[in-house]
Amino acid sequence: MSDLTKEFIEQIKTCVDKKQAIIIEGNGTKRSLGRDVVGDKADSNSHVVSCGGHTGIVNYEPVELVMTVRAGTTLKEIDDVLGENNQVLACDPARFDGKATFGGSLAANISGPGRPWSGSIRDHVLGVNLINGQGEHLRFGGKVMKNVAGYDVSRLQAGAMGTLGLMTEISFKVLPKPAATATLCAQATQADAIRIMNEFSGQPKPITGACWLDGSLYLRLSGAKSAVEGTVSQWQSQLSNPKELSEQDAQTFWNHLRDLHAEFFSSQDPSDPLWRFSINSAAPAYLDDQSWLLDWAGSERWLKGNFDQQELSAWAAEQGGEVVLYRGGDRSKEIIAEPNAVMKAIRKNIKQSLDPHNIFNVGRLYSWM
Amino acid sequence: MKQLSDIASLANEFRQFIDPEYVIMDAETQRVYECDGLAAYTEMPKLVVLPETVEQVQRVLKLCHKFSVPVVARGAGTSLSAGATPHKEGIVLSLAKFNHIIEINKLARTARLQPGVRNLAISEAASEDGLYYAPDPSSQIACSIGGNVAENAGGVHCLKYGLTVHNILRIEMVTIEGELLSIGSEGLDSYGADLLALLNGSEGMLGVITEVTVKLLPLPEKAQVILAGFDSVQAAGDSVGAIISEGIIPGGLEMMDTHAIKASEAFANAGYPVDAEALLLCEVDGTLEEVQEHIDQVAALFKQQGASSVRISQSEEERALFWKGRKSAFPAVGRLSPDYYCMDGTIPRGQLSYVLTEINRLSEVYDLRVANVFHAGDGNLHPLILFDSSVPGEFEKTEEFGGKILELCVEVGGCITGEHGVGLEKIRQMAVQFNDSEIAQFHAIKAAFDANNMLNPGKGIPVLKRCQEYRALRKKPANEELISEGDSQGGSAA
Repeated sequence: MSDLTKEFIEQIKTCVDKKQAIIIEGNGTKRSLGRDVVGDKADSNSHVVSCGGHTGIVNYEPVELVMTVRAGTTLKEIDDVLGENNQVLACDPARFDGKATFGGSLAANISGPGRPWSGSIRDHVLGVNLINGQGEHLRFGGKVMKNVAGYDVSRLQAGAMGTLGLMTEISFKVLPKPAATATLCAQATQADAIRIMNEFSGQPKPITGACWLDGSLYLRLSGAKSAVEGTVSQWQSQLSNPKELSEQDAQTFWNHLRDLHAEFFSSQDPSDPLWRFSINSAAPAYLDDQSWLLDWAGSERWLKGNFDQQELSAWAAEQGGEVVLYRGGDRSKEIIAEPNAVMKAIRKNIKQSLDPHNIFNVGRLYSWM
Repeated sequence: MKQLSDIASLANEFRQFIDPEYVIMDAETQRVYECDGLAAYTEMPKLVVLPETVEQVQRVLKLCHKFSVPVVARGAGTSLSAGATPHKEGIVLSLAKFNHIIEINKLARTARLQPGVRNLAISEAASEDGLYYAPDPSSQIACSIGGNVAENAGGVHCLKYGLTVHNILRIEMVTIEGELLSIGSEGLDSYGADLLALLNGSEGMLGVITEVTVKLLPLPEKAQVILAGFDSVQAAGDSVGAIISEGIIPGGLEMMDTHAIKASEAFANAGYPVDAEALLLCEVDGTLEEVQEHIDQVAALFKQQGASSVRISQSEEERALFWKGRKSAFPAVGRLSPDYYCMDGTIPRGQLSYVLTEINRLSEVYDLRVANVFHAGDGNLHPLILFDSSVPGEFEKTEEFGGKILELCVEVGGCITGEHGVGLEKIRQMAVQFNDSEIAQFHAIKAAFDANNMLNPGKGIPVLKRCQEYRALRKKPANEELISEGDSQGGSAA
C-alpha cells in the first residue's frame, strides 16, 4: 500500500520533455482490449507507467456508502473490505483472477451482469484525481453522491482507456449487499429469450441479471428475501422447464460470465475474433445460426468468429448501437466503426485539451488519436 | 459582432427561415426571458428566437457562430442558478417549440423526446405502459428534459435511482458550428471516453440539445412513506445512517428542520409534527412483500433511535399528503418572508449536525433567518435564506451568506452544488472548490467544443483572474468583506 503519485508526475514530466509516449498499465489484465498501442511494449521508445504498486484504500465510510481508493487497488481488496461491512461493489466489474484494478476497470468501463439494473462502474464513480498530460495533478468530482460543479471529467474517464490522463485516486458509491439472491434457468430460443428478458425487465421485480446462451435463459433476482422468493414462484409458472440453481452453481455461473471465464469465452483461442455488441436490448436475433451469448437482457451481445466488420457495424447501427472487435483479430486496424468527421474532431480536441503533447496510450482507442 | 451592422440585420437573417413571429425583438415580449427561476439575476438579450425544427437550430447557430453572437439556450427556464439568464450581447435560443414525445418503446423501456418535453409529461405518457422516468426535480411539472440534461438535474429519488446522467441513453445536439452530433446510443454504453457523461450537467456551454433518449423504469408495485419527528437534528441524522446500515436504500429520504416543518405544515396541513426539531420522510418502494418488510424495519428503527412520533401512510392519498408538505416546502417557506434564496450544497451526511450548527451561527451573524430542507439520503442540503429584496443591500447580504454556506460545504468535504448547477450564481465559489489548474482544464474542455466561447458565456466556469481575486477577498476578516461584482458579462444581481 503506497502512494506513487509524485513518482508518476515526475515520470510524466520527463516523458513530456523527451517527447516519449507513455503506456499506462495496472496489473495488465486488459492488455488484450483496445487497439495495439503505438510503440507496443516491444518498442523501447515507449515508457510504461505501472500503477500496479499504487494501491490502498484511502477512505471508506460504510454509512456514507462511499469509498476512495488509489487507482491500482485490486477489486479483490475492495471486495474483502466491503464484505466485512456487508456491502458490495454493485457495478461488479470483471475480477480477472483477483488482479483487476479499480483504475483499469474504470478506464475500460467494465461492468458486470447486473449493469442494466444496478448501474455501471461509470455510474458509481463520484470523483477522480488524475494527472493530465502536463503533469498537473487535478481533482474532479468529489466524495459525495451529488456534485454538478464543473464538467464531469471523472465519468469522462470511463472508456477512455487511459488516453486522457493517469488516474491516481477514485471515489465511488458502494451499496448494501442484497439480503437474498436466486437464479432461475429455463429453456428458450434466442428470439424468445430476447422477448422474455425485456418483458420481465419491464416488471417491477428485483431482477439483477438476464442472460441467454446455448438455448438456456438465466434470470437472477436479488433484494429483500420476500421479494426474491415471491418473484421466483411467479416467474417459474411463466417459463419453460424452469429450475432454480443452487446458490453455489448460481454464483459460479454469474462470476464466470462476468469474468469472461464462461465456457463460451474460454473455449475460444484468444487470438480469434470476439465481437461485442452494445445495442437496443429489444433488437431482434441476428445471424442466429452463429455462436452468441446475450447478456444485459439483450443489450450486450457477444459473437465469436470471423465476420465482416462493416456488415456487423451496419446491423449494430440499425439497432441503435455499435459493435467492437473486443478481443483477437487484427488489432492494428480500427476495432470500431469510424465516427463521423464532427465526432472525430471533438474527440481529438478533448484529447488535446487533457493531453496536449499526445503521450498517453496513443492509438489505443483509434488509429487517429 | 463581425460584419453585421446591428442586431436587426441578424433578426432579418433569422426571418428568412423562421416564422417572423418567433423572432422576438420587442422589449415587452422579451421581458419573460430576462431571468430564469433565480429571478434576482436579470438581463435583457438582444434577441429571442424560437426555432421549430432541428435544421432551423442548426442555421441559427451557424449564423451566430459566423457573426460571433453569444447564444443562451433555454428550456422551461426553471434553473435555480441563473444558468439561463440571457447575455446582453447575445440571443436566447428557446427550445420551447420542441415539446413532442417522439416515441415510447415499451419493450426496450426507453423514450425518445424532444428537449422541451416536460419532465412530468414523460412519466405521465409512460404510465400507460406501467413505466416512468425516475429523476423528479421539484420543478418537474414545468422543467424540460433538455434542461434536465444540461443541469444534470436530481430530485428526491436520487439515492436509489440516480441523477439525470444515470438515466439518459443518448442525446442529439447541435454544435456551435451548426453541426448535428449524436452522443451515446440505445445500448447501455459506447466505445471511447464517455462524452454522454461530459454533456450531462454542462449547462448549455458545449452544445444545444435537440433530442434526448431516456431510460424508463417499471412503476413500483407499491410505495409507502414513514413520517417521523425527532427532538434533535442529530437523532434524525443518525437514523438516516442507521437505515443505510440495515442495508435498506429508500426510494426517497428527506429531512426538514423545525422552521421548514412549521412553514410546510401551515401551508399544506400534512399532519407534520410542528413541535419536532427535525422531520424525516422515508419512502420505501418495490414489490408488495419488500415494502412490507422494509416499512416494518424502518418503523422499528425510528422508534429505537428515539423518534418522538412515527406515522406510516395507509393509503395513496395519505402518501401524497405526506409528500405535499415536502414538495411545497419552498413556496411554504416563501410565505414567511417577502423573498427567499435557495442554496444547493452537498455534504457527507456525517457532517450534517456540524453544518447545520454553523448555518444557524451564520444566520445570527447575518441576521437572516434560514429554513433547511435536506435530501438526507444523498447529502444534498437546501438551506432557504429568508430576506426582503426591498430593503437596500439585503439581497447582497443574502448572497454573501449563501456563499459562506457553500464554502462551508466544501470545507467539510462536500461541494457547492448538488443539482442546481453553477450558472452565474455560484461562479465565484467555483474558485473555492477548484484550483487554477483545474479551472484552466475546464476552459480547455470547453474550447474543445466551442473555441470562441459563444455558448452560454460567463456561466459555469469562472475566468482565472476572478478566481484569484475572490480567493484574496476571502482571506480578509469577515467584516471587511465586500460584495464582489458579478463575474460575468451575462447578468447582474438586482
